[in-house]
Amino acid sequence: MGQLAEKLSENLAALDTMFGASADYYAKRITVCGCDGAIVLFDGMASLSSLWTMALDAVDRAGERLEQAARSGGQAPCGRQVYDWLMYHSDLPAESAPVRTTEDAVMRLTAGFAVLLVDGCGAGVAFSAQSLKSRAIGEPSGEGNLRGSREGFSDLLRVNLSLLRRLIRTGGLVMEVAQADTAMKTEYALCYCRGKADPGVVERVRRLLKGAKPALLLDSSYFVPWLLPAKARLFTPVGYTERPAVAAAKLCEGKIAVMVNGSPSVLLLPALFAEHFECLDDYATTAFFSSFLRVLKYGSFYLTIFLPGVFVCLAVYLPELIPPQLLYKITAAEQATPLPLFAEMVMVILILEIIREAGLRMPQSLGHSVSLVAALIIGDAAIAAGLMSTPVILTACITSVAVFITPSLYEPATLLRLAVVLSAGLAGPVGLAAVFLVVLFSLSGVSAFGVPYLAPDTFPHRPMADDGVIRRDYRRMSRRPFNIWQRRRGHDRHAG
Amino acid sequence: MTGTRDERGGFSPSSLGLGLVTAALAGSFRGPAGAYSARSVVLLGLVSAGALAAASRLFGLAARRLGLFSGRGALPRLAAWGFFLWFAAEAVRTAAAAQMVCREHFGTNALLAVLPVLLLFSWQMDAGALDRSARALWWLLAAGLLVCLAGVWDQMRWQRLFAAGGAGLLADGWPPAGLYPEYFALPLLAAGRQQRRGALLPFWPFAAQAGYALALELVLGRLAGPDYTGVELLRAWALGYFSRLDALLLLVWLAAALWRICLLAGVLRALWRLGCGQCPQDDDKGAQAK
Repeated sequence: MGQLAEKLSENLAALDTMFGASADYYAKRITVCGCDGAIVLFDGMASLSSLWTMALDAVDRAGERLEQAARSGGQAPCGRQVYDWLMYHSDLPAESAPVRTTEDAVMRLTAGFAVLLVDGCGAGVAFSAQSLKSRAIGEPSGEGNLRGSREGFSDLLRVNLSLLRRLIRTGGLVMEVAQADTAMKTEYALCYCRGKADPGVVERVRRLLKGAKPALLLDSSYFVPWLLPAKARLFTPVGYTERPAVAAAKLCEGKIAVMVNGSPSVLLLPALFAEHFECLDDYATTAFFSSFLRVLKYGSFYLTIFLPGVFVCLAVYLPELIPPQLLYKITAAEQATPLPLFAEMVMVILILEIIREAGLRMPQSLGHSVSLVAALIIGDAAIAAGLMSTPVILTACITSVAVFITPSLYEPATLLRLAVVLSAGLAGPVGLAAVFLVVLFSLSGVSAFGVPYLAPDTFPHRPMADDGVIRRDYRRMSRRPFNIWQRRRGHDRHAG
Repeated sequence: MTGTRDERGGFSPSSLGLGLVTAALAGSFRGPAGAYSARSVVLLGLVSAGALAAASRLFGLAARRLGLFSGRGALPRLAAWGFFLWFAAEAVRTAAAAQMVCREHFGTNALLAVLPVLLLFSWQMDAGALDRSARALWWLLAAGLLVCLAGVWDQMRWQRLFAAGGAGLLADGWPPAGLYPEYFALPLLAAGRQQRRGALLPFWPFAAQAGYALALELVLGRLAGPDYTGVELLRAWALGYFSRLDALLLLVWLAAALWRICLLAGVLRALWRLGCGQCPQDDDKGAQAK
């Protein structure tokens, strides 16, 4: 890779060496204002007809004047003159930055630009003649909402940037695009709101992204090990969204968004634990109802982690805590099964995970079959065969359903649920108390860029915070817009 | 949403208070029920707590003036090792209390296996992280307290406080007040202005002890005999369909006790470094104040 040569043939030869064997590579020699030139583009990424409408026709007509003027001087215009005219003195909608290196040319070509090279000039002119085919902007399937925008991010970075720009129509929004140091040279964008995001942290993130060397970059989440390195971590203090509205809202809170070309998933950092229990609908409904829903979500999350473990612990080690009538039923059900309750619970949880994974990865046409077979196995056959008891299946199923209330916490919730069952089953009440502390420490020990994941003033310290477990009226909340980098009054006092 | 950048150092008084309340509750569970009247525990305990608070404040001021926790010089290093031994003894005492509860009430020695794993997990945690987890435990303890009160409310008889033939305040002697190293290590444990609030720490275990003694006497009266311990209050619990919940309440206490052991381990680590001559500023992750 290096500077473009003065000779057109050398430049074309260099590009031919790289892309000559590819079917989509298009290079055509033309004459521009009496000077030799070439149009280079990738078929399907840039449109020839757009290029013709945008540039070549105009060059044909207006360039005659330049040619005549030059010939009146006794000689044909040289490549440098043609380039200067195209770049600086014509009305052509060329890109403002010239193409000076082969590397730059490749970057533009693979982004869907057409490049015009002229003989006798070591620079090219890029035209935005993109005609990239992409998935339509639809509603993201993973983030359901009743109200608000239905738009979801697409796979193309430029389209995603335009979606954000359309929502934040101020000069504060900065979207820096760069190429990652990967084998595929994937483009990514660092987005933040100037004046809201912490400049020091933005600089740090920029540096970390620049220094990241992922082998492949297929999603924004690939950057996490470089942004937040850790040997082991259950909760990752970053958020993901496929909704431009959510990303825009987070940017307005001072957070930083990282987008990667080819992925609709946007990385948001730093994130708070409490944000997993919030959604756009919260602010569209009444404060009372959204508070009720949030309490329900928190309850479901803790239920999904602790319910199977607590059930095993109580039934095996502390049966005196279970009311007698309930205990009789559990005992009667357990007597009919060959496995101990603890092993039964672990088995049901693992089977449910297998079914979930199969349902997720399987072609949609077969998904119904999986559901049907799973329902038959778990719901009927296992109980009829006397392999599992109904209370165990009921408990495991409740937890499996409850976890989908906070899908973004699925991974830690699943691992912790298993850890709680194993600890409670092996070490009894002591194991349960210890694993509770492990869950607590996993949450409280995580922070990103100085922002603790378990925000210092949210639940349980101040459940009545403006927008905590219970949220206040939106009009009241809007008086003091939240910013992730703000220092609390308590902190200010403390810091003196 | 109210999350923000974490800029504090050291523990908050409420975190240290959680550890002290846990230790005080351990004493209440294990101690003989009715050894002292509730009246003497409340009134004389208040005097003891006040005296300890004054001593804590004065010691804190002197320690700051002398740079006792600076880690530089012979006296600070000597003080660090002295406090190290005191905190180590406190950690052992808490672990022993937890082990006793596990063995007597849950019939298991699993704590011996679980504790090292937990300490390993929490070893690298900073004060802020322990502080945040303490809040969750406070809520759990508060919920446990409410459940406990709901279960014994019907059994409380106010006249038991005024039983005939009640002796004087000092008839059974002065009720013992717990002396914990946290009272005197505030310049190490708490940062800046938290230290002033931290001087009130002796009132936290006092509140737990006095509340427990009061509830015990209201429910069971003055129990006589060495066979009755404070844990009888939890056994008296009953609420409609449920007749036993003492194990669940002890489980909440056990979680708090394990948390206290983790906190003490963090403090021991900081004291070890101080004793070895490392200044608190050298360590940005330790439990000591930044």
